[in-house]
Amino acid sequence: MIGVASYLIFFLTIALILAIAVLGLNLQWGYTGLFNGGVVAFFAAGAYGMVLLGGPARADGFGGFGLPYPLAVAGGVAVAGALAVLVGLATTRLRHDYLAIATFGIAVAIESFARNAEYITGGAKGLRGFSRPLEEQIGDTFAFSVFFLALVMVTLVGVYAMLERLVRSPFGRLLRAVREDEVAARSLGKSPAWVRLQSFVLGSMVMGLAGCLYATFYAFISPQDIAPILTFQIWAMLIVGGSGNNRGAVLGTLIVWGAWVASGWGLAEFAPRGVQLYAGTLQYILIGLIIVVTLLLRPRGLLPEELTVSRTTRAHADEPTRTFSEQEEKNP
Amino acid sequence: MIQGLFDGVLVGAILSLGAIGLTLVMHILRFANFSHAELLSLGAYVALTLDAAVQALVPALAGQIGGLTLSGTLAIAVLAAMLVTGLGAVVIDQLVFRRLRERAGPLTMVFASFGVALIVRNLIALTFGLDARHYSDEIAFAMVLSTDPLVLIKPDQVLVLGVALALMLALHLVLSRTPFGFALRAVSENPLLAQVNGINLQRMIVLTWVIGGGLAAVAGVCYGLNNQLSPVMGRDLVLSLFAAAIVGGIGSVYGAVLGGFLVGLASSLALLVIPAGYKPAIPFLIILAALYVRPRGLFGERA
Amino acid sequence: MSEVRLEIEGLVAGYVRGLPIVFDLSLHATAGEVVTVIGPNGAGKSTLIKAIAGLLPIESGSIRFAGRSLVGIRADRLAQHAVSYVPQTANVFQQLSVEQNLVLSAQRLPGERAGRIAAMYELFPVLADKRRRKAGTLSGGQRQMLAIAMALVARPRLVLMDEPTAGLSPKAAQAVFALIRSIAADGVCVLLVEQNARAALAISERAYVLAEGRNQLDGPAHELLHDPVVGEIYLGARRFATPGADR
Repeated sequence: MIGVASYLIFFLTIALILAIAVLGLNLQWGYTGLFNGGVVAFFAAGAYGMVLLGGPARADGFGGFGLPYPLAVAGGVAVAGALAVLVGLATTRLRHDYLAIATFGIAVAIESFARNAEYITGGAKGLRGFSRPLEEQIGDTFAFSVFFLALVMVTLVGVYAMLERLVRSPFGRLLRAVREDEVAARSLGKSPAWVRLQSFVLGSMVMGLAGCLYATFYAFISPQDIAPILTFQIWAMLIVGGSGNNRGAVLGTLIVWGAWVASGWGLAEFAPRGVQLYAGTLQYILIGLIIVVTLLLRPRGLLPEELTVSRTTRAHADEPTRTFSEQEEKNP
Repeated sequence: MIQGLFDGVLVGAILSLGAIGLTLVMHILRFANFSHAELLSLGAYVALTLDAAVQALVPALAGQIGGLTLSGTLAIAVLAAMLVTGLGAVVIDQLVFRRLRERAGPLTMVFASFGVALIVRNLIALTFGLDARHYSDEIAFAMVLSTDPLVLIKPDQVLVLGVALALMLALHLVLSRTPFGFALRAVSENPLLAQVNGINLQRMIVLTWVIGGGLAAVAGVCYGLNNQLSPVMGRDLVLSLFAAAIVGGIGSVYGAVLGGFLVGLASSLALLVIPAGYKPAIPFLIILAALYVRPRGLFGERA
Repeated sequence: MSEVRLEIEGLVAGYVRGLPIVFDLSLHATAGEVVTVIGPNGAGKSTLIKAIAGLLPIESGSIRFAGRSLVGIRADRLAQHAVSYVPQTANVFQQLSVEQNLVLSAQRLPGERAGRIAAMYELFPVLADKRRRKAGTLSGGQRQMLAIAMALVARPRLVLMDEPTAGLSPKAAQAVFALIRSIAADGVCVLLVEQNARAALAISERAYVLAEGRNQLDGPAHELLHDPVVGEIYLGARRFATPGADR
């Protein structure tokens, strides 16, 4: 029984961490119409930034400053924000798909940086030895996992509340104005490029925050955790749930993450050995299909924007065995 | 250094072929197609399959020509792969992009193209396996052009360069001499005016995909000859193709050619100063530099 | 001899279905006639001409030319109905040479293309001199000549022109107006949309005054030229019942 419970806690912790990243993407895409093709870059920037700032000193490399946890998290979020400024300044004035290309590019660049800059990132081995906040004080592993899930939930609720307030504020209306009609937004005396940059940076910082929590949860971060597929998983979550709707974003996360984990479990459990080699390949096709089919058949998602839909469906957590960090990087 | 230059030109030729189709689609259909690079993989693998099929049918053609990996069968297979890949691109357009074009914005098509890329790439992996493949198991020996500095060139590389340049010349002649070429340029400059001048936009879109897919297939085979075939080759090339298209200026075929060579050279020469592990990041740095310095590219429209 | 006529009845059209910009408009023009549509900015003039050219959805009404309906035709098939359209701006392919522009537009003809292109060079010697130059390098007047040549090369019997003198020097505008007269003199029906009302009326047989998407006034051009109501419409002194705007 405790096994099922601890698995559920594990599943929910990861899912809700991803939900935070999905909320960040929703601010960019759902409310502002910005295409971020490199979500994982900002997630990684937060994760690595946090571990470097808050982790133990490293004998053979940069960092490990041992800062208090909140400061380390703030630092990780700031690193993600700085990265967003770098890309955003170059692209928010240009044709919209340039942002997609540049963000896709930065994800590739960050991944190769993580793999190669051993002095800073630990290379393929990643950064280990992060001590999780209050873990020693709590002692019991199960109790800590419950505590950590609660921390993630509180963070998610906080981010959710902040974004809801933001998108209902005058600034939120401005975001949608920029999304819908740039000329009109400009005629209001607002620079669309500036509004887009703000939204892009803020959304990327939220992704960075999700990265911080993720690295905290595993007390470890490595290039395997920031594979490109993560970006598309997060996109699939947003589009399934309904972009432009924060509740939809969370719902979509649970559904898509559930489907991902369940498909991995199903393949591992039931597929013949020859097929198991291609489990990751099949799962990637699943994500691709979710994206394309949703766009074609239900582009507004399960909970479309600005519609009060009663919450009747709840995603059910299946009993998967694969974990997030087990994604095989060998797969395309 | 000289070896670096040569390798850069070679990679550049391959990138140019791929970037031409990408820039045309980006300009005429107004979206960044992240699945374009998968057409290179598709073409390369289709050629591999057809090569085997033709060998089985006409064994006489299977002999390799000169010191090349190229055989008569592979040559036939490449031509067929161009057609298949071009039609494949049209099918993808009809299934996905055309439907979205009718009712959604260009960014939705960008988004869908990520999904299409994932599907195509992994279907290729599923069909042909995850391991790298080669057109020939024979080891191609390099010619030593000079010993000091050491410059090695494989016959295949000379062939790749020759084919790429010949195709670009052919495309140039089509664009500058034939009414069809004028029509293609007209559509990319001003679709509305093209229409009232009697050009059927739907047909031009189909032809754009056929050309883009066909050139991508050749680029994919060339890449396979120069390196190896792998299901992730598209993923590894996509950013370089975008870099070539952006540096050249979106919509400019000549820009894409020049951009391809520039990106190929820059990537190759950059490896002289930075560790090889960072290679995937180089196209991103080129894109970022281009967007800061000259976002419309060398020959492009206003971005 | 059956008359070659453009007949529009009760046209309702706009950029987006359900948001018409032209309301219940009726108009006719005959071969050999220059008919001008004038009106203030936003009156729906360009919308009208784009709707005829098959570039905008038509919600109701009929458009017939030479006895055949033009409603719902594709813009790339205009030439099959002997109709040519000269857009207001961006009406030549700047990246193509003058000759390539003409070759491209002559593709609409089934045969005898070279002869038609030669005829255009004869009509516009300045284009013959610059045939290898990119159209983007031409002056405003020369560009307009090329745009008109691209329309004429396909042997149209109806030419739709959207503000052909916009942005031209007075001298170049004069040349364009003279050219329009000679096109009509060859038995072609010309439908002209103009801001430059006085000059356009001077070369037209008849004219329609459009405001807020509706036909406010029509009649022989020389009468409208001196009609005080036309002045009022331009000055905005007259109030209209329904709102409407171009684009």
